[in-house]
Amino acid sequence: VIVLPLLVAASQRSWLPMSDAAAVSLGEWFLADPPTRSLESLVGILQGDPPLALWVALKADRSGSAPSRSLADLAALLAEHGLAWLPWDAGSIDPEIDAGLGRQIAAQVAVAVLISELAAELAEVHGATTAGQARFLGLLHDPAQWLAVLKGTSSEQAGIGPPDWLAPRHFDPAAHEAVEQAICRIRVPPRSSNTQGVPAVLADMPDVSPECLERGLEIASHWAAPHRAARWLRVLTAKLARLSALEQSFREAVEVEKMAAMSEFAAGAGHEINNPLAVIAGRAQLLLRDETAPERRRDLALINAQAMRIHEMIADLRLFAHPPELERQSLDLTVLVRGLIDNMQSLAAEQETAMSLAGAPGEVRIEADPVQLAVAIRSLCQNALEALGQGGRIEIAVGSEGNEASVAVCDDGPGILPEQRSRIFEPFYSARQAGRGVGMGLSKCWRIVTLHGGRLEVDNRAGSGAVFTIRLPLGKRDDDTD
Amino acid sequence: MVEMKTVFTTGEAAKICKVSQQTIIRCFDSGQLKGFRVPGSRFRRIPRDQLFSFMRDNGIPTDALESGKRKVLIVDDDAELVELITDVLERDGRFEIRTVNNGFDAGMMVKEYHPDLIVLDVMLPDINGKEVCQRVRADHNMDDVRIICISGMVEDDKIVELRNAGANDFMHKPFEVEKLVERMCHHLDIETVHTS
Repeated sequence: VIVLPLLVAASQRSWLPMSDAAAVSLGEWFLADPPTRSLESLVGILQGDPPLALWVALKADRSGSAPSRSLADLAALLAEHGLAWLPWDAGSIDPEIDAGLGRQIAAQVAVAVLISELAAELAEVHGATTAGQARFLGLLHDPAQWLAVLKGTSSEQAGIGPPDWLAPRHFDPAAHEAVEQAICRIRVPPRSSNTQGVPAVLADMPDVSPECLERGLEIASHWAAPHRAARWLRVLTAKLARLSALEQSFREAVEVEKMAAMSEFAAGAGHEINNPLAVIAGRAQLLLRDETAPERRRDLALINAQAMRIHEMIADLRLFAHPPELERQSLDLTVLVRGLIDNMQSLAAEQETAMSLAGAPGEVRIEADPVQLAVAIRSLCQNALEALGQGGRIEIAVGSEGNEASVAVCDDGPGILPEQRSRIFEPFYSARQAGRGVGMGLSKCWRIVTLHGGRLEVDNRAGSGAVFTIRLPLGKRDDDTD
Repeated sequence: MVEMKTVFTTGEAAKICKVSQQTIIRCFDSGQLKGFRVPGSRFRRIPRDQLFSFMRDNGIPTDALESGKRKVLIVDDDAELVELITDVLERDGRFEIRTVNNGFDAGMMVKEYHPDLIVLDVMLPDINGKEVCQRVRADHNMDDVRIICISGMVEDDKIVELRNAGANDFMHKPFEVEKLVERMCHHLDIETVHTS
């Protein structure tokens, strides 16, 4: 076959010219730009005798006589229209009849486009005759395989995976460089600064689906020489990391939306509920004034007090919905936490819980509202105390990593069930089985931390217990001296 | 039963006559309005009958003095709450009460009734409380009208806005009914503790 390239496509036979000179001349003519050859005539030739057309095109491209149409143009053309133009026997690859096969061929053509792009790039780097183009010729030296790919007659073997002819043996080191650059061009949407823009993030997702990148990685691994592979993999790893960061920011955006919706609810419900509360409390107060029987006086006072209790819950919710403005100042997180632990020592002692600072952290300087941040950390400690009930141990760790400061409150009480984790910061979400997250404490903490531009994370410890971690951006240190 | 007040300060007399305190002091000092000074001080006091003849002689309507009651307008769209406040004030006995349930009627009633004090819900179905305040304050005949706003859901910055719009005071719902009466008395310059 190598000696006499003969291609058989169904009932058609194509005789390809053995002479390079003949092939090149034909190819130059074939690839020449209008007015010599219009697009229509190029299509006509392609339809008339595709194997011949492609063969001479490849020969001409390799000859270095620089036809004005490049192989890349041809490949792009094929990718776009090729399937419709190719005159294979009716039925065998009609995309309408066999959509699956059509897709498969389209996928292969797309791979061909990628490769021809690489070839074009190589041409720029190395001049006219290039390894990439030679690879195309190598492809033609195995015409049965090539036909199988294009025509899909042996689609089972061809599959959609990287064809055998993409194997490393066809590549020289320069090709690796080109592939690496092509991978660098895989488009990843820029990080959206607007976390509200959930739809925008979604819209950009299909371009960088993990499958797409993994596929790129797979193809790359076929081609990679070991020392090159390291660099590609680094690039791909970075892209995959960006992708997972995008997914994370999407999850965070959903969380922010959820909490915003709750705030709206809180604001609305507050007004509606306070009106009847005012009537209940007021009537109880009026009755209490004239009541002398001690039993009834107690009951009336109770009605009044409970109505006021509901009012306080509403007030908490309102605070959650519209928190007061932060009054930021530079402060040492370690000092703040130390003070807080001293403050809570007696409360912890009441239930015989040991509460302490982990290790001996140094200064961790941040810009924050000391009052509100103290409320946030305190509510985590209270949550831990409630979870423990009696005894146990609470450790609070202060630290910094990268550009983030952290406060982690760990306890050895019951951990948090997976189904509770996504809801634990919701106002009044009651995970009573675990004795955690009752009331507004964690919601308040979440809100304050978010206002500070930080995050609140919850995790179970290995063994037992839970750890809540506040992460805050580190303040600028003007006196930074390494 | 309400105990009739027998002696008035110049401030109280000014409110009852709907003139400025300065005018009362001038009339007192010129002898047009008879009274006495609290022994050991310079505080002026006006006995009820003297005030009555002063008002009659000068053509000032005397009904405010006759009833001795202060006029209160309650504005809230929640009927049960209006009923509660009405009950509380009626039991107190020192207040004459009218009620409306929207901002438009409130505007009409302020002009017609000229209350001493308005208890004003901020969230009304039509015109909001802030606007009612502004409309009352736009009419200088109403400068002496005191306004206490009440609301179930008002943030701190909104309270500042209400005060800027002319509200004298603000209370959250639900409130202690006695606190409300206390605040009303404070703004009307009448005794806080009242036994009925």
